[in-house]
Amino acid sequence: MNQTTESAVIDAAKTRRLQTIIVWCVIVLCGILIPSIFFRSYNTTGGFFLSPFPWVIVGGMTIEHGLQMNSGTIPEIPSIATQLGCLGSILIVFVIGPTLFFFGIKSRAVERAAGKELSVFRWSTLQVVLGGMVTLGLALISIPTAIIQREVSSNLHKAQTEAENRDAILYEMNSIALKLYEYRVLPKELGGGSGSFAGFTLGKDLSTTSDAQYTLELQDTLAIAKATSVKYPLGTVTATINRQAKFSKWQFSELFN
Amino acid sequence: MIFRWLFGGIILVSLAFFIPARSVDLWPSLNAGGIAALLFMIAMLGYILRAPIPISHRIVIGVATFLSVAALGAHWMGMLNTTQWQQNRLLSIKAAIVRGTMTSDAPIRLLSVLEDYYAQPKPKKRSLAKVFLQKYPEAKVGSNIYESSVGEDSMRVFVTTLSDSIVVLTGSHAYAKGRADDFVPYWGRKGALQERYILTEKGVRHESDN
Repeated sequence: MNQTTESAVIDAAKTRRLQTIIVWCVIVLCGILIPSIFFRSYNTTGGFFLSPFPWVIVGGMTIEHGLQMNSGTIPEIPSIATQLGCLGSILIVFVIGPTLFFFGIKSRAVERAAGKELSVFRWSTLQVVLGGMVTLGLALISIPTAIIQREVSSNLHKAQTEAENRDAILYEMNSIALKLYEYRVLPKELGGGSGSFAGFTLGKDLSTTSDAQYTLELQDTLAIAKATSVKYPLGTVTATINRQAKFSKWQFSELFN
Repeated sequence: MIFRWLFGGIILVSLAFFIPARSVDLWPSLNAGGIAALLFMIAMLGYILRAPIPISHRIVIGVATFLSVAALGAHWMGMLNTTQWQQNRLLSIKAAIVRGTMTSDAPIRLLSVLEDYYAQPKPKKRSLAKVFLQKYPEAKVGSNIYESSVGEDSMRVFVTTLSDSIVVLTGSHAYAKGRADDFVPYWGRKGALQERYILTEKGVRHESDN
């Protein structure tokens, strides 16, 4: 009787050790497989994908569509495989992973409360391991990722808004050059300079706009235009305009360089 | 019980994902699926976070989940706003470049014609159209006078009116987007931008059609 009990205890201990090894194998395997599936490179031309951040992939598609439209190509509707990849990613990240993880936690709490002798290799362990790989992995990287994304987005907005302001200034300086050319060409009876820049003044609509303030220094056959950004007072552009409204000697302040 | 929740969650999110009509833009589907997933997670946590899980564990799990979901949501929304803004910027930059190129090309051609017109000794004999044709002998109404300096270009500057007292050049682009999507341009895709430059004896007037 004693021998039988002792042998049963030894068998149980062996089984427990084997179960622990299997559980660790599953953990290591999941640790390798899940990230490799999630982080494999996605070819933006389409096809199935799985990503922990499907919105990043869809964001990439949005930019790609913008570039296509910019080059005159009409973007195509994403394939069913791409859509399923997107749906699959949401399901893994927000449904399957958390459900396995949280139900695993609940099962373990119930088992513990019942005072059962627990085997390592049990369903609730697998649930917690598999679900935890996804849920805890994402939880750990979610906050720094969100902060980095916000920073990148903010810098991008700032840079592009400055570039937009500079482009608007260049466009308006071109309009000033055309007005100057027109003035020089028109005869005096039509409000022109009859071959000269003398007497040209920037009207209110040309001297101050929502983008910049402009000044013009007239010389014999040239004019020097200077723009000072209204939105970014450190942003200035200076250029020389010739008799045919052609620009030369561009000078940009550091902000617009 | 877990399988009911899994099955229910998958069905709910899948249905929500396919509610928006299939289009080029995947964001509506993704957002609908995301909202359904969020509702599912709230309901599931409400079910899970009960006894026998200790209260302290419930609080930790609840707070950690809230923070993670909030961060993921912020990342998601940030990506949506940034990429859509960038897409619009790409299109508006294209339009700005095309308008800039047109405005530094067509009006100068017309002002050059005006210069020659007024340079004639009095009394003037040649009309605006004649001076224009002297500079562009091949031009006629409907012809393109723009020559790209960078090879193939989708921009055109058409002569659309050519008379003694008025010359109109219409700048079009094959696909660069203008302000109104339903605008039918002189040339190019519906909704493409269009600028007009009108030369009279009084000077050059610019009208932005789209």
